[in-house]
Amino acid sequence: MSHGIEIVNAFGKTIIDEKYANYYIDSTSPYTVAPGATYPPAGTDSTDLIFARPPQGENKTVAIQYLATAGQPPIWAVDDYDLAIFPNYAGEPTSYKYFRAKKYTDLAIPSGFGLQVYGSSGELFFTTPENLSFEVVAVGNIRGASHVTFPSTSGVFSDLDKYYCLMNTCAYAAVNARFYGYEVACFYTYEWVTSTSGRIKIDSELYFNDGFADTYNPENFDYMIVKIVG
Amino acid sequence: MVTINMTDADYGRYETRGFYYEQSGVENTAISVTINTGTFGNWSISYPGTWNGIENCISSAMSGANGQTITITPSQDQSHYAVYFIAGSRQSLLTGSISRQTVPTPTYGLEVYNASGVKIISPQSLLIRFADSGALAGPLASGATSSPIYVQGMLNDNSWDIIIPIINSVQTDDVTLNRVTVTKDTGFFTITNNTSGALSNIVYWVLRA
Repeated sequence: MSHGIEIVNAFGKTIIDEKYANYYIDSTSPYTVAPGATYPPAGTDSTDLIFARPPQGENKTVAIQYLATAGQPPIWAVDDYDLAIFPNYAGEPTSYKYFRAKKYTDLAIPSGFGLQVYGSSGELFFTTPENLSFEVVAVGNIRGASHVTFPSTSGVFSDLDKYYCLMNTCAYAAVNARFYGYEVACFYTYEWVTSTSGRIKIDSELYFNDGFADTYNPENFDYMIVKIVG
Repeated sequence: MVTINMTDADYGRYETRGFYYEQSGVENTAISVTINTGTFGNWSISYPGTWNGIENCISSAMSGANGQTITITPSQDQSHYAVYFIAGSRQSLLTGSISRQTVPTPTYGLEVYNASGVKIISPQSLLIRFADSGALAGPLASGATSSPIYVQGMLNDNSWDIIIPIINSVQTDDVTLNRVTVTKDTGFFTITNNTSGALSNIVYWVLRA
């Protein structure tokens, strides 16, 4: 770059510059929504990212369910006969806790403190959030494995309640499930070891029944886990 | 040093998954593997992405003697991998540990605190930034590749991340694995439909992470 600002982290990744807008959380505490509610929630823009988890202490699965009925919007997934066919599915939570990450344009911009970075046209690309922020913990794509666990199958995040998972790429749908049909499911299951610690299992599977046998195959899933900071 | 001790007694298989992302942005940090007891048999590795160097590192250094420690330094940054160390004989027990080198506290770089005095950004932070989002204008036929989707400044490297929901239309989807392929190039990317039917409403987000 010939001018302006660029902040590079200790591993060589640019985290702030004046070319690309950072994301910000649009609330000071997580929203709560019941399973079965319409997804995405009202007020969501097409550029938003939505991160969710089950309530603290619930060993449950979070997912987005696409309904087979034409014209019906997806919903925050509910436990039903078909979704329960997946071995790593742990059942619906009593509610979903979620944050919405937006570009700066839809948010009130704090002033009087912190760092602000503007682009060449005067648009604000980075500002210091007044309350909560988040950073990326894991991002990737599952292709060859049906599930992976963070931080490990034996390790834990000491503060799991601060970890949320990307819902935009989550998906569950069934077409004639259980008999000459298929189901596809990409979801996150929380495993709490204590009231505050635990791990997250990312699952991506495709179930297929050809009328004679059930088969499970790994699916293609873009996942992301973030940690709330602040 | 962060140590994860393996306790699985199932014919001596010990595994760890993805602990590089216990903290953000530490994917290039070396890990050490120590075999404590048991007869080392084999190892395997799985990963969604591509890791060059790990296989050769383990193969050349791992003789299996007790007390042996090897250090693995990934040569290519990626988000996740899993390494399995397997006992030499079925039903035997292999004990060991895998340690990650602690990232030194940086003495340089940017720290940002919010209004409550909480540090929200440090030189170890990994943030995602918005570059673009959108949807294909129309259905993408089976086997077809979209027109280039131009994103200013885009490069074909792993600092650019394109995420796509796998379900774009329940009615036209099928059971083909890896339904779409995203191909990055300088200044643009394309989406190819790998399924046997048309896909509609393909949406995407382009992120810098």
